[in-house]
Amino acid sequence: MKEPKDNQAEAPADASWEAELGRLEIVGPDRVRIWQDKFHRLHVQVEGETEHVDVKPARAFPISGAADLVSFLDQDDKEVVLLQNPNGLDPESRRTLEEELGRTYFVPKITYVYDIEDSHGAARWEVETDRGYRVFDVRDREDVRVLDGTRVLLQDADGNRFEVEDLTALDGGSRRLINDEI
Amino acid sequence: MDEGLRKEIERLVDADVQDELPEAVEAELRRLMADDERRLISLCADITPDGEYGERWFVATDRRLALLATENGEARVEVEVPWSQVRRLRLRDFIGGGSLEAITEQEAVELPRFSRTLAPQFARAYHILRRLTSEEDAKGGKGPGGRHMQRALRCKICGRALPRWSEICPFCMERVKLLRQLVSYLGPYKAIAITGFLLTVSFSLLSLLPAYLTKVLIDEVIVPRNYAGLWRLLSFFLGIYLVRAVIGVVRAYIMEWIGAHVVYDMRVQVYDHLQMLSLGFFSRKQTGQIMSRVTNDIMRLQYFIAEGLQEILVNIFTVLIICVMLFVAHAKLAALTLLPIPLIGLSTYVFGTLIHPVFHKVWRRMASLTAVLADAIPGIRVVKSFAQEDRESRRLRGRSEELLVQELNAAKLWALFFPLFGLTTAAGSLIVFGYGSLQVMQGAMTLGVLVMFMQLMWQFYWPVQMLGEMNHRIQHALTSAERVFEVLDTSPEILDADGSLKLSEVKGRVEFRDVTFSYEPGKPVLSDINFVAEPGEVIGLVGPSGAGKSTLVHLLSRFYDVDGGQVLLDGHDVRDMSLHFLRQQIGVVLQEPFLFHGTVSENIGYGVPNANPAEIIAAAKAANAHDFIVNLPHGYDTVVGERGQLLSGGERQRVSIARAILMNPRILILDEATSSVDTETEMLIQQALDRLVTNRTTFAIAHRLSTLRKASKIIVMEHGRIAEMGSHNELLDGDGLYSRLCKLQAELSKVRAW
Repeated sequence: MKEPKDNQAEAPADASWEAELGRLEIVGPDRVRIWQDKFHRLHVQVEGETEHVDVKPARAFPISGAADLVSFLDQDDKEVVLLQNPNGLDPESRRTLEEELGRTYFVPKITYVYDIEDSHGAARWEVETDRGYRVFDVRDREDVRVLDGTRVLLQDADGNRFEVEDLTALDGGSRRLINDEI
Repeated sequence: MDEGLRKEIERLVDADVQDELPEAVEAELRRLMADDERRLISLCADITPDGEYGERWFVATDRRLALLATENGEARVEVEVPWSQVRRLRLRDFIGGGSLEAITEQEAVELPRFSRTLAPQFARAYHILRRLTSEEDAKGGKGPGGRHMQRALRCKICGRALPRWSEICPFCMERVKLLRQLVSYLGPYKAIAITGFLLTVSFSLLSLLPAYLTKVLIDEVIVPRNYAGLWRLLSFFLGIYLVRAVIGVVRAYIMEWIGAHVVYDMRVQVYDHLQMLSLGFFSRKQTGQIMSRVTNDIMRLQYFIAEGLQEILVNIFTVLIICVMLFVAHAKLAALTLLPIPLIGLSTYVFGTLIHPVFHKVWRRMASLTAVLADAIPGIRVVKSFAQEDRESRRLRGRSEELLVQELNAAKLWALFFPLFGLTTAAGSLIVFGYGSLQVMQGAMTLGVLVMFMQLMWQFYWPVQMLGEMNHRIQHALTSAERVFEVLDTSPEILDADGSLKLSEVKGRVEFRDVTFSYEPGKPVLSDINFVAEPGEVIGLVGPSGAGKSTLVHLLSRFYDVDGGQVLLDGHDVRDMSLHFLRQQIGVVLQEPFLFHGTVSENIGYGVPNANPAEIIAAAKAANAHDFIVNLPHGYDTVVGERGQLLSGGERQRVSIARAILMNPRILILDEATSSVDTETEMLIQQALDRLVTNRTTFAIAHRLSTLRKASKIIVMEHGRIAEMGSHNELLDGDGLYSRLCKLQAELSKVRAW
């Protein structure tokens, strides 16, 4: 920290909003390389900077997708790199990142609903997902969120997540069962 | 493997980490394992290495770690790592899952992958197995998915997750048991209840009598022109109506009386019980929600007992009596009259089943509308400051529209069914008119009987419809009852141990010996806490938020019991003491001072009900509160609003300090406010605190350097452990967490202007 001048409280370098924005560092995909070592540790290297080892990727807007930004966190949960437009990465890096993100966000997509047994909001769902058959309990109607009218996000009683990408794309029976829950 | 280590592992391993394995896997393991190889852990995982749902079997022996899969009744080892190669283990947390990895010299090998459902078992396995590894694990951090919501409790009977609000499973809710429990509340009022019941029966009878008298009127008075009989009959009618009116009044009052009394009993029981519940109960649920739900539910029950139940009984009796009357009068016609009954009953029931979810949706849209209002109105300052009035209006409009849609849906159902009922009853009456008229015209039945039939019919179909609804009404009432009983069923907090000890003299020496604690198994919040606080010492507790400081002091007050180790007061385990006695020895000054709705003097005297005014003033003076109190419009009798709203932050702090001073406890827990007050008030508060902590063993969760400088011992906590311990100067000389925190604080305070 800089030493304060004698009778002046230390003032931040330039507190204007523009300066603040300017200081925000979002890295473009062309400057970034991502790979994974044999210890399953993710490495991120920004051109011209030190390589970061053992980082965890996290989407900044995982649900709304308002911006395609991926944050990379170190083992102290502090961000080290903020990457935009990960689709622009070189094929290797992109594949590695997508695999790792796929692992970090395990959210099976529901493709068919066999049955939903409901009692005052607590419900037992029996579904088919893109990862296989599953039965789970939803505690509360609060745990079923509808976005944009056709996308449904669920959280079960244990914290597992599920998604219905497009309600209208499901068969009538499944749709009806789900509609009763929202 | 080292014998001592293996013994330790075996001690830790319990049923939690020993799933039953299928025969094929057992067979494969038998084939694989050496004769002296011992199995430690076997768990089923539910996600395959490809990220699909599927079973895998994770087995840890004293020689190796393995992941097995089954296919066509045969098991094979998919992944295997001998312990000799394992440097350390790594537990990874994801959103919706996790995995356990073994790290060797060359690589990381993923073993089981699992959903959050199975995460606790694997976390436990991980904590046990890491004792076998040589390296200390690196810090894990959490990252996305690390911070998990509290797992749902599961019903002991059916295994389903319990709803957020309840500890009772709605699927397993035993209706009969609930009804019986409800009825048991009538017990003390048996005599009156029976009277009310008899009156109800009489009322029903008397209501039906006029119909019979009409028959008599027509057949024996009008037709035969019996003038003498007319007056007699009319006075009979009058008499019946009068008696019925009187009975009606008495009955109504009795039922209300019973309802009010039963509910009173219930309320008292619930509120008493609530007081006794542990801190854990209140932190799990929102207290406001509890209170409002319980109050509403009790009100609903009151209505049910006083009126709903009554209505059901009345209807049942009316229907029965009418049936008898009709069959006695003319069996065939009676049978015909009864024809539409099943249809009416059925359609009412079907209607109820259909409309219930719609009503529920209406209720939910209403609730979401209220939620938006609950946000916008209290937060109106924010709304206006950010000029978002339009946005809030739009939100409200959106929710109102959704509500409208659902209400229209309900209206559609309603509009469809009601005329249907009307039609069915009309059809029934047509039958009666038609056939009945024929019978009269043919002389097989008198006109009076026909008229009686018609009268009774109208009094008949309505109760039948009501009974069709009976099921839903009872269901609703039972839901309310269930919620009320749930509160009553929650076991109260840790009870006193036998032979509860009360010390004659409390010196105030506190010791924590090898204390470990976790709210949830597998996630230790405090580990290996060891320290002694001598009487009168001021102990500063410092550390980043979440380090475990508040938990530590909660253990002192025995809001929770330790998992391992002991908390000792003057050498006695706090579990051996009377809970009431223990808590009386501990005074508390919280961060956010909570003042009850009452006068200032009532608030100060909260812990000491019999305090006289002199004592209250003395305490207030010591807390530097007296001056501002006498300046209040009503002095010590000023009512401080809910949460003491009318006082400033600094004033509330000082009142709560006065409260603690008056209680004169030997031990004090001080949770320092971080909110800034002006320097002058700060000084007053500081002085007040100084007086408060004199001669008391104080545990100060401190933020102010001034407090810490005076502390005889500072405990620096991090991640649930004691990182450093010593006096302020000692720690400053070291170069650890504490001195870093101090330097940060010093820099911060240079920026503050006043």
